Amino acid sequence: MKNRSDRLASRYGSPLLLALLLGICILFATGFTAGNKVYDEADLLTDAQEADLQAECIRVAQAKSVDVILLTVDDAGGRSAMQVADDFYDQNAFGYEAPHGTGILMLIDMDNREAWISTSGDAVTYFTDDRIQRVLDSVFEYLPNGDYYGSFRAFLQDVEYYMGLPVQSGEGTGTPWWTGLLVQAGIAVLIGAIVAFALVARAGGVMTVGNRDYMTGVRVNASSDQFLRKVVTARVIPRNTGGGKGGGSTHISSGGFSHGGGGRGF
Amino acid sequence: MILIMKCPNCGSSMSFSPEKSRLVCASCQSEQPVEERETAAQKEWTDDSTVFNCTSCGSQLVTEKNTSATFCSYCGQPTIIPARLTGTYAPSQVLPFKISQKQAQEAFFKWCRRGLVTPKALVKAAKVRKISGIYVPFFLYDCDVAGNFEAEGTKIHVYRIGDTEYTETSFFNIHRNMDALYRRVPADASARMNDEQMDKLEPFDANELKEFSMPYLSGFFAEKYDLDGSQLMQRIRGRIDGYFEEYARSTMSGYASLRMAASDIRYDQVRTDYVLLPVWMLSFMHKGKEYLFAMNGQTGKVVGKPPISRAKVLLWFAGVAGAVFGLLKLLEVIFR
Repeated sequence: MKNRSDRLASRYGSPLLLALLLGICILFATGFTAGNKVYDEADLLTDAQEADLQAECIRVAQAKSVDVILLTVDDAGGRSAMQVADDFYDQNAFGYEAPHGTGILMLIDMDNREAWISTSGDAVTYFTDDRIQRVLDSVFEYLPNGDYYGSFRAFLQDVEYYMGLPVQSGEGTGTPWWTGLLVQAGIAVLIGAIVAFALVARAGGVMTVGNRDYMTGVRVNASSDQFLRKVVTARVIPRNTGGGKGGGSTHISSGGFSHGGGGRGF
Repeated sequence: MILIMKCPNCGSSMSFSPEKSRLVCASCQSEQPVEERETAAQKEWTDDSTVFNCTSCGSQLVTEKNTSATFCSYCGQPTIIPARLTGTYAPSQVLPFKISQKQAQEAFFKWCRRGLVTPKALVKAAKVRKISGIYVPFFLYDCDVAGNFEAEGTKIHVYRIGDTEYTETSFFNIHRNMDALYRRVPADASARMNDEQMDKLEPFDANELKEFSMPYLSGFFAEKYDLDGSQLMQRIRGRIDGYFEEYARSTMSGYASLRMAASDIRYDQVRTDYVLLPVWMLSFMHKGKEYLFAMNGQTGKVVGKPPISRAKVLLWFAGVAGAVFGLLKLLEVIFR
């Protein structure tokens, strides 16, 4: 046994080690830095809470390959919550794999009294409009009570859950998960019934002669296919508004970067 | 008067053998071609009684009024009643049996075994209760028809410009005028026989029809027709109208939808031939119920409602449904 594992190690050991080293190099080269992730500018959190959230952000970031930023502001400077969140993300060039890369930011904007979630890079795909609303649902179990720490914790928990979780077809369109199953089962039952019915119906023998069997000759004397009229109907094809496999809907921030996201007032 | 195919060798009766296609004597096995027995038809047969005396055992032979060939119910001697095969009842042609009784039984068992929803008990041990070869009276119709068809058809073209999808539906008026010849379309002329069952026995190969001769009937049952031409013409018209319209439709191709607005079919010439076609009638009992089958005596095609095994039908349903469901799931995984 040992002999075998030795052989394995000698055969695959060095490439494996190389790959590991390469991976680590790439990780550092692409710049995920465990820098500050919690920016409590409105001073809503205690120092202990901040430290706790900082550690959690880094843990989730490393586990799910997504930069996670928490931000609170008490002065929006006349901007909307969305602009505040996007600008902050862009100015700090957050991103897991590269600056302005994959990341998600949650803002509690005390000025606009709004919570906003801004997504970038791959996070846009995983955080569909529907999922954002569900994350906000979790956040708003705490936020209206002034439990900012709890709302951030809820946010982090949901980010960890949804990031990397493939978007199911039909998810977020209001159809429950078992609709597809029901359709498939329906088709299966229908085809099964048709086959069974056909077997019973054909058991007594079927007509084997058709319309040409007794025809020995045919002559076409006159034949015409005359065009009468034409009717044209138009239908506007509804645009794909996201929410499906394509991920959440996006917009371009003032910094020129594409962000997804959504928010809710409190 | 009745007619017996006496063996010129030993004097007992001879039967038509489908395998040898000649007359074979039951006692001395001597054979004789049918063509050498061209005697009975020339004579004048006017006897229209239904009760005869068997020439072999002397017992009374009571027949139904349409029976033209039968067996003595006491001694089993094949008996032909020429009065019902001459004059207006003289068939012009006969299609001799090609499948013997033994072959018919074997073919029937094979068919039972092939049945996908036939009860297991039947597949294992099907026992024929009764089997009889019958020459069933048919009229073969030759029809020259002329048809005028008017139909409405649509063609649909869908295209996209930007975000708008346009559906262009074009309407057409289609007209066809054609002549067609339908030849040798059979219609059974015996009220006793189930029309649908007889239709399903087709096709009979009309090329094997022989000029009628009574010896072919020896050893089989035969009947004379009891449905008149006008009743049959209605059935034939129904069939040929359907065939012709279907054909006309097939010449109107390329349409997304087609509706026949008017079809006017005229029968210019109709000619009929009175013929006898070979059918094996088989019956067997299953769970106290009698099942009746018909078999084409030329091709061996079996028609009839067999008992259905509910368990087998259910199994098929479950199997197919399960397989389809599995396939859909598989496709879903592949194309996700």
